[in-house]
Amino acid sequence: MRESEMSEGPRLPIVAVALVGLMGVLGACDGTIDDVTVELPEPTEPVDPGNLSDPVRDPIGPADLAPGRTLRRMTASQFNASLTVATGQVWDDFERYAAALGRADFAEITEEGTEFNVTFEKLVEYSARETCRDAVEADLDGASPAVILRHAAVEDTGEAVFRENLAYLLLRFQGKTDEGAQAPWLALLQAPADDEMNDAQRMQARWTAVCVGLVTHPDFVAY
Amino acid sequence: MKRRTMIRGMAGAGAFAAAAPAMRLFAEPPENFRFVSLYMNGGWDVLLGFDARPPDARYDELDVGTSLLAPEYRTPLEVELGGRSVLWGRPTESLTLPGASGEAPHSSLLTLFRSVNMNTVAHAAGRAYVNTFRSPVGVVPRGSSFGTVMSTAGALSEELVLPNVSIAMPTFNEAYEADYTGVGVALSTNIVDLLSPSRGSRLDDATEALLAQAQDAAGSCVSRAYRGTRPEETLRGSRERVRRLLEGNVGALFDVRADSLEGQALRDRFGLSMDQARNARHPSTVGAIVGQLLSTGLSRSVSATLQVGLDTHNQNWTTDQAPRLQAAFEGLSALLWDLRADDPNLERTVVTIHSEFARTPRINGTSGRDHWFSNTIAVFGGPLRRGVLGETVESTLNLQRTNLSTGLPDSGGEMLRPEMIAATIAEAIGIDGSAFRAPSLQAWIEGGAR
Repeated sequence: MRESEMSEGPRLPIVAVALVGLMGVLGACDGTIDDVTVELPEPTEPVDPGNLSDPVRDPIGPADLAPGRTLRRMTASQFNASLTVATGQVWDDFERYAAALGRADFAEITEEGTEFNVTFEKLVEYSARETCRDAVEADLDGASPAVILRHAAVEDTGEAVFRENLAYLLLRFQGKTDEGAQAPWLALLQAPADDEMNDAQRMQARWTAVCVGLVTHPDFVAY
Repeated sequence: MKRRTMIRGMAGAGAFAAAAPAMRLFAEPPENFRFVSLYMNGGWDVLLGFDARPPDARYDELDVGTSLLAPEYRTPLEVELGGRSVLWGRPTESLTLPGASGEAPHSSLLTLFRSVNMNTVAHAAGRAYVNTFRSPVGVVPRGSSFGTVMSTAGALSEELVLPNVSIAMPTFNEAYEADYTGVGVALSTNIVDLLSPSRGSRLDDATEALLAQAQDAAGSCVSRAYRGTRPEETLRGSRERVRRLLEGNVGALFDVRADSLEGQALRDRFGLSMDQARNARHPSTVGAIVGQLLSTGLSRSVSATLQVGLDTHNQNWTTDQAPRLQAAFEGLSALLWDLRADDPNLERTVVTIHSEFARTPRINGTSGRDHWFSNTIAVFGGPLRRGVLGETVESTLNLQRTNLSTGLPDSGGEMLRPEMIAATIAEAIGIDGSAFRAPSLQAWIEGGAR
């Protein structure tokens, strides 16, 4: 039967039956139907299956699995592209380490790596240090619009300036607008001086560190 | 340098002291269990390798092709395996020689699985199969890598910084805690880079300390998608491992190319020349890195591509197959002697060696051999019964069913599959082999399943 033929049939009774059924179900949800008697089967004693030996293997199998899905991260190419966009700098060693980052070559390896491991962690940190250093130095050169130091200069030490630039960086790197996410980075910027550097050198290093921290953060590399 | 000496220099209790294995796996986990999975890329010729043929068998339909080989590879070796005398290809010779002090040859520690049905003659599918030891979906691997499963054989500890390492092959973790996820490197010598201070520009110490604090304090909105372990906790554990590795400056211990006394000692230990050491893909170099990862105690499970270039369809079978197999077996032999220094009979060490499939019994029209799905998988050590399990049809190398108790051909028996071998090894060392969804070979577990 074609659909057009079906549509000529007695629709109203079907809809009515469906509505009654639905009301019944909804009624059951809040317990308002009194006349329905459900006969439950009598509980039965377990039957001895006979002389069976114990199963060789644990029938439950691997237990205590970590709940939820496994943590995944960007592929090597996605990470490199994101790093380039976020910092405005190219990581020169990407090709050298692309395979170690899990890039498929479609000859030997046909799956893009998306698992976290120590190699990925180390190379992400390496790439972040290289590109963040270059990005801050480029900002200080002033040859192009600032990427990291867009709303702050290395001479600035005020909290309002820090917050404004952190809000911009968190949005740029991680798409966050939550002010609470600024806290650890604000603490980094405002920590008492414990070095031999002058203020500008110190703040250059600290903004570089903020950039490194944002790139190595799970909200940049994971999904 | 052995593990205690080296680890003493490493810092920090770190996250590992608190980390517990994710899965209830251990009946009686063997102390300091070690696992090695070695892959021979391209499809090996079992007639030049481990195919254990009876010396008196006839090969009416089989072309061993020895006349095409260089003279030194033509004569097969007679080897004693599990009380039987069998023939191996000449390239295996290093595995049949006794040790310098009269130790039994490696072949005496071998359990050999023949007539294993790979169910494919496609490289990518076969590679996926011997990575996870579960039949792949097309060319897509299914389940966790065998090395990942075996890395769960025992608790994590402060010293076990890289429980699962994979060299020049992909690694998968489908169901285990992130600590067991394989650390992959593209080349064996990349381990030196991994374990050495980052080449990236380092900030001053004070800023580095502030950065570490901020990284550890930062929360993650990605966490909302997860229950259980949160992403920032996983990353924190991983970052902690990196920091401890770098503080220990462990990379120098793996530098087989170093022009130093330590580098020379490492090369000597594995019989490695400087020329070989300069080639990160040379089997002896790979073997040295694998051995060092295990002997330092940094790793429990190491998977590696031991040899490449075995896909010899043409004249290159006559020129390349035998010498490449020989080089691989020599690298394997050096690795086994190193592992046997700690564990003479490999009682707590399992070393598997395999390829994605074998090669055809007959020489083709271009003096080579093509792909053949009847394979051989070799397992050295572990609590397995030594000897040979399974036989191909001697005249054709065809698959045949095996009696899983006797190891002999039996039309009422089972067709051997890689899953069965993995499940057997897992059960033999006391971990759950149900992930492989195949019956284990109970009769081949020494002392029964743990």
